[in-house]
Amino acid sequence: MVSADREKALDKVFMILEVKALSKSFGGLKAIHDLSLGVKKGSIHAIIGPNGAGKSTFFNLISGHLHADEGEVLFKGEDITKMPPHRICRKGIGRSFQLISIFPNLAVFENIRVAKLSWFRQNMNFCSSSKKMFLNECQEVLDKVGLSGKGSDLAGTLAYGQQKQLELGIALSVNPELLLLDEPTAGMSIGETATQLNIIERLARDHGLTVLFTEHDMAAVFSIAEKITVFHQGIVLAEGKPGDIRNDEKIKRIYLGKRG
Amino acid sequence: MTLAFLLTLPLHGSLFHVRLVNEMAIFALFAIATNLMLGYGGTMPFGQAAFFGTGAYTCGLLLMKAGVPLPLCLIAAGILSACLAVITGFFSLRLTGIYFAMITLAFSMMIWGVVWKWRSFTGGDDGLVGIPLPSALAPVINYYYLCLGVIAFCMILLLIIVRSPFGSILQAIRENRVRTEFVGINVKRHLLIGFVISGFFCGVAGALFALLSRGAFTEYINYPTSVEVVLMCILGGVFSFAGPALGAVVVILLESLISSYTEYWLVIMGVVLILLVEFVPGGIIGLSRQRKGA
Repeated sequence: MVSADREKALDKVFMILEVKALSKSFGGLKAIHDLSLGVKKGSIHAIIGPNGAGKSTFFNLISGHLHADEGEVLFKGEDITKMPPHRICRKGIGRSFQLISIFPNLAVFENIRVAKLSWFRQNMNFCSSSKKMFLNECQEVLDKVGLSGKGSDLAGTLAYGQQKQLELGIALSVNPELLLLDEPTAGMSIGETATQLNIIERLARDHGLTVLFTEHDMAAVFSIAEKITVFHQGIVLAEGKPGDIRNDEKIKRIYLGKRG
Repeated sequence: MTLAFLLTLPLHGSLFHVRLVNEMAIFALFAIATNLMLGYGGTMPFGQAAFFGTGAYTCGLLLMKAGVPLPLCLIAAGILSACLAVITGFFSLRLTGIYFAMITLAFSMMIWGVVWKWRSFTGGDDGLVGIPLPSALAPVINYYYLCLGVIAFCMILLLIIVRSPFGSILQAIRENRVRTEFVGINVKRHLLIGFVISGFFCGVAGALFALLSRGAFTEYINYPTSVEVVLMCILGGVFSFAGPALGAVVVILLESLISSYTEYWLVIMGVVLILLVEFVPGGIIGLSRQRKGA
């Protein structure tokens, strides 16, 4: 549960991410319609909603993989609406993908190292040997996401849950201020889910990261989120603290599956 | 051992063998340079002959018409091919997969068309014949050693590049383009630089080949050359540095051995390739690794 002190502290901080009147259509389908949202610095913010509510589209709009038809996205006050993904990443946003997105035929350690090489702007270094670079930094990330002993395994051979952890590790390697996690625990076992949630929570509490995540597992959402936004058919249906959302009759009817 | 063999070959082999090995070495460089984009970058470059041919013609024309010193000719061949790669890459790397392959092919056909038609300058379908070599390099054996030196130097540079952060990120792009973009890499720019480096070394290989055959011909630029080099890479194994070189050696050896018995050597080549791709996707290098693993 979120302590009263932390809630008070969060009330004072500024919005790290502001989305204003965002719209995106695919053909005739309005995936996101005139949607506005603010995410406070240092908070853990969940987006929930049924399939097709526009959660993934929303993430792709923020990270630059899709471009909005209308509206704008501000990160720390800067307009990032039309930036390509690699520049948005450099501004301080890390993300994970709903379907696992790693480098399957590279070793786990190399998966992290690629991100570190990029972060330290070594991408145009033609002379040094990668093998000796950023050993400590990469190991630190692996420790953080619980893959300490797996560095030399091929990423594609890891168990599903571990691949999810690696995915989180890659996102963390670019030292983001805002972390976008698209269903970070989907498909994980109960034990793995608990570990993953624990890691995410620690990132926000101890390292000051802002986490914006989508999730279908309601138990997971209510256990770590400090604020929840409910999407439905591309618009914001409701927004509030976990307690308020849990007790909202309208949301229960359309989403949580109880008849009012 | 390979090195010792290469260095002492002129002592125990005939001139024919020296020439054959020289050709293998040049194509090994051509294949390794191509593999930078194929195996490491994960793209399908189907117009590499354009760079090989541009290198050959640049070197030949500079020697014949301007009498430029040889080292400068080699560098100029690389640079002009690299410039061509900037233009080709700028347009083709906007697309991926088969579309990228088609555009690179189209560009190489355009270059071929220009060389074919511009008879007064390039010799058209007669090619450039009788490229002069400095007298010190006129003996086959002297040229052989020069070639080995240049090729070894280029291969070492390529090896360093492949193992550098630039090379690591190139492989990451092959594995997962979208992911690489979202660790902060400008994927298109990165691939373009890889394409230009590849073009440079293909150009140097082309120049060396023009000097070996004392001529430059339109078939150097034509699409079968592009296909052949990709074939060498796949046959040898695209996921290792040395694989494509091995592929080049095998293809040229088969070409020379089998074609002395039958004119249908391509049929045998085809069978070998099909068997390898079906059963050993890692190429010949993959085959030897499987053995070691078992």
